[in-house]
Amino acid sequence: MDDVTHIINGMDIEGVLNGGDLPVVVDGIFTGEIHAETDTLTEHAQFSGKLFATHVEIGGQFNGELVCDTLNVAATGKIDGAVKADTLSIDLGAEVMGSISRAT
Amino acid sequence: MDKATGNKAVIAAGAHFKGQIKHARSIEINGVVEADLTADKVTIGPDGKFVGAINADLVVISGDYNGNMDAGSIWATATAKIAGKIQYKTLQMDRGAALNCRVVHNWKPEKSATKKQADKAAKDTSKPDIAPGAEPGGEAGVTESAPESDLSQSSELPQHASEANNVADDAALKMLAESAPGEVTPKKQPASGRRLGIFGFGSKSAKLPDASS
Repeated sequence: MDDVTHIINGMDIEGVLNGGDLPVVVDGIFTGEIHAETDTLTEHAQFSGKLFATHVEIGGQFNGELVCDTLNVAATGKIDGAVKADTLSIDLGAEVMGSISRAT
Repeated sequence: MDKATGNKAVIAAGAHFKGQIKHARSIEINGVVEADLTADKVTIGPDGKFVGAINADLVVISGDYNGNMDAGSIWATATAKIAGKIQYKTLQMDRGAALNCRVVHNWKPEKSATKKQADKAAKDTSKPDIAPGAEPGGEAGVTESAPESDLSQSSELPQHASEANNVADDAALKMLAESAPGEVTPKKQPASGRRLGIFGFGSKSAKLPDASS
């Protein structure tokens, strides 16, 4: 049950998070930097900063710099910033602004 | 994944966070956190390590903690290792818990009450020393200004506040006696009465020969 780092809705967190090998789920407000294997921003999430991960799924608001291998932007996702991803999928309804390029 | 963790925030084992955490209702820390944390309930798991300040209603510690903690209730389980300073209202400590820290039982409301009482007591004790010799109207200004001038002239400086108060009281009484002798003499009415009586007898005895002559 607790094998996930979970930032719950309503929580306000600021700093640098290294998730290790376990997934990171952001449901609240995060300002700073995340390094993780797998990172999910839910539809309530508000992220500002830098995100480095292997697999990323974005359903909330993202502002900043994103570097990953695989990125999936859900229909509720909003991205404003610089995205570097090797594999990218964007669902219908998602809002993406900024620059998109390959990570490698 | 949301359903798995419910309404509890989690820093998982192997994770490392450094920064600030606010408005966390309930948070479980199984990784390493260096942060200032405000929450309702905090749980530091057996493998968890927390460095920084915690302000929470309830803190359950099974891992390592180092910092300043202000909590309503603290439960240190058998595997807990606590360093720094903890302030609490209720504390439970299991056998085996290691506390190497400053522990303060947090009675804030009563502390303020005792301070008020102490202040009142100090005022009550300081006033009667000066009040009996002084008239309520005009002598108050003299008694208040007297200690400062007398203290500034005195070469011996008091090292403690209580000594300072005693010196001030003595100085005030001396100044009262010097500056207002008319106010001091009425206190010695029995003595002056005797003198008046003697003087009265004397005057009568002095008048009698005059009358006779």
